[in-house]
Amino acid sequence: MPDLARIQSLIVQAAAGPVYRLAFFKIESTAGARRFLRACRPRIPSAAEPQRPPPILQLALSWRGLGRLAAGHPGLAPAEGERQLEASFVAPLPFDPDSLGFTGASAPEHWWAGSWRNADLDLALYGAFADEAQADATMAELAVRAAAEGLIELRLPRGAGGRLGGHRPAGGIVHFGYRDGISTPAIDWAGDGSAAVDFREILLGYPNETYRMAPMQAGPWQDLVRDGSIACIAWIEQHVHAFNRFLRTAAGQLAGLAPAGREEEWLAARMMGRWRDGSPIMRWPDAQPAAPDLDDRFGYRADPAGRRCPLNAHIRIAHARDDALAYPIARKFPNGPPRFIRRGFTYGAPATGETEDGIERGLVGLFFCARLNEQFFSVLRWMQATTFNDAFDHAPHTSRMQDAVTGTRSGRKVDRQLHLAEGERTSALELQDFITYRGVAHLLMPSLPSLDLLAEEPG
Amino acid sequence: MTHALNLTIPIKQDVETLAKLGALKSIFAERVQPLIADALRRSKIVHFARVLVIDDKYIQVITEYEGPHLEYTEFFRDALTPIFAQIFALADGAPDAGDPNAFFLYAKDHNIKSLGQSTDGSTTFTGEPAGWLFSAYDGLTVKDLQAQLPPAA
Repeated sequence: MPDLARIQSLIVQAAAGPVYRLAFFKIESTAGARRFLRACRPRIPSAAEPQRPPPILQLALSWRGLGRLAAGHPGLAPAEGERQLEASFVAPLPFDPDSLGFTGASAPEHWWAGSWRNADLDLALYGAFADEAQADATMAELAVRAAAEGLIELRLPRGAGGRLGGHRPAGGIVHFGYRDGISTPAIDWAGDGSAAVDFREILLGYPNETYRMAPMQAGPWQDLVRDGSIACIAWIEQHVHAFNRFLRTAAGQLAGLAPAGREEEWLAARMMGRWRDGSPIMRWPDAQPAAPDLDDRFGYRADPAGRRCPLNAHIRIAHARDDALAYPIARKFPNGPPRFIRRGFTYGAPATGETEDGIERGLVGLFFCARLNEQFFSVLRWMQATTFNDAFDHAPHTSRMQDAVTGTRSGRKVDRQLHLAEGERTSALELQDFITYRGVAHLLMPSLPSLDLLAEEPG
Repeated sequence: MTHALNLTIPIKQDVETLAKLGALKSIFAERVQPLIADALRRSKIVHFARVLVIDDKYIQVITEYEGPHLEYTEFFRDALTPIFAQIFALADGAPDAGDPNAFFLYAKDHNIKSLGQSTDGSTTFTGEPAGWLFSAYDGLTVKDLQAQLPPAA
C-alpha cells in the first residue's frame, strides 16, 4: 500500500501558496542535473508532513529527463524503460493531437509561445510561495543554480520572469467567473476502502486486474515509478471577453426559455453544469441557492436526455459520474469514469465586460493520474467528440458535439450545438472557442526515494 | 472517422505452433467467432472484422472501426484477451495479452499500413497519415448506419 512519506506533497494536498511558478529545464549535463536535484531536494516536502510554510518545491521529469537520469543505474536501462513505461508517456507529444483538441491555435506547433518544443523538456519545477517577492527571489536563485549545473531554462517570451506564474484565485473564482476546485476526488490513499476512489487512479506502481497500468512487469522500472504520478501540465488561455460576448448575444435567443432578466446567468450555468457559485444545476435548476451548495454528491441518472443539465455541460463531460457510458468505455472503466487530481493556478488580471484589453489570462492546470492515455487523454477526447455516452446518439444530440466550454471548434465535422430545454421549449445555440491550449506537457512526478536514487551517481 | 486495423503477425514454423494453429482453425467457427462477434456487436464501433491465415505463415486480424486507435485499442484487448492470447501464442516475441502497454506497442508495430493515403484524416497508431481506406458512405459511423436501418424483425 502507498506510504505518504514517499509521495511528493502536491499529489495529495494542494500547496498553500498563494503565489505559484512553473519553470522548465533542458538537461545538458546529467551529473549537473543530479546535483541540481540534490540541491532542490530539501525543499520538496512529502505528503506525510504537516503542510510546510512556503516556499516549497515539487519536481517532475519528462521521459527524456527520466531516462537520462536513470541511465547507468542497475536494471534501469532506458531502452527497457521505453518498452515498459506507457507509450503515451514516453512520446513527447500525444500521438493523436487532433482528437484531443490540439488543433488550430491550440496545435502543438504554437505551444510555449513558440520558444521551445516538448521534445526539449527534461525537468519541470513547481513552486508555491508566500508572495511575489519570495517567488521571484527563489526562482532567481534556482535559475542561477540550474545554469551553473548545466541546465538550460526553457523560458517564455513573457510571464513571470519568462516562467508560468500566477495566483490562487481569490475566493476560488476563476476567470470565467465560476467557483473552481469543488469536485476533488476523495482518494483512498490507505488502500483500506476509507475513501471512494482507488489510489491506483493516481499512483503508479500498483497494477492489478482492474488497473492494468504500465509497467505491468515487476522489476526495477516498476519500483522506480511506484508512488509517483503522471503530472499533466496544461497552460490554458481563457478568452473571457469572447465568453462574455457569447453569453450576452446568446441570451437574446433564450426568451421564454430562461427566466427573464437572468438569461446570461442561466446560460452560463448550463454551459458549466453549475451556477457560478458552484451549486450544481442538477439540484438547483432554476436559480442558484442563497448560499453556495458545494455538496458534490449528485448524479445525472434522473436527466438522461440532458434537459436539466445539457449533456455537453463542462462538468458532465469532465466527470460523467453516473451517466451511462457507451459499452466500450464502460468496459474500460468498470469503477466508473476516470478520475484525476487537479491542481493549478490562474494567471493574468481579472477581466469583466466584452472589450478586448490585450491582456492574456487563463489558468495553468496540473492533472495527476496513473494512466495518461486512459484517464487524462480520454477526458480530453470526450471534450472534443462526445462518443463516450450513448445519449448523444439521440436527436437533437450527436456524438460530434463538444464540451460547451473547452471544445476546440475548428476540427473536422464538429457539431457546435448546445441544446437547451425548459419545459416544452427548446433552443440550440452555436458554440464558439472560449479557450486556447498554449502548452501541454506530461511528466512523471516521481516518489521521493526515486528522486533520491536519480540524484545519485550510478555505481 | 473510420480506421483500418491490418494486424499482421508472423507465425512460428515449428511443429508445436503449427499444431496450435490447426487447433485454432478447427474451433474458430464454433468457439472463437461468436465471442468476437458478441464483443464487436456490442461495441457499435466496428464495421467489419475477419481473421485470415496466409499459407500458415501469417495470421491477420483485419477490422474497420470508428474512433482513434488510442481510444479503442484497450477496449479490443480487454474484450478479446483470451482470443488475442491464442493468436499471440503462434508468434515469436508476442506480448502478454493481459498487458495493455505491451499490446499497444505490438499492435502499433504489426499494423500494416495500407498503400495510398487516407482522404479523411485517419492516422496510424502514432499519428502519421494512414493509408487509403475506401468508404462508400463518406465515413458514416456504425451508429449512423444502424439508425437508418429498419428494426430487425
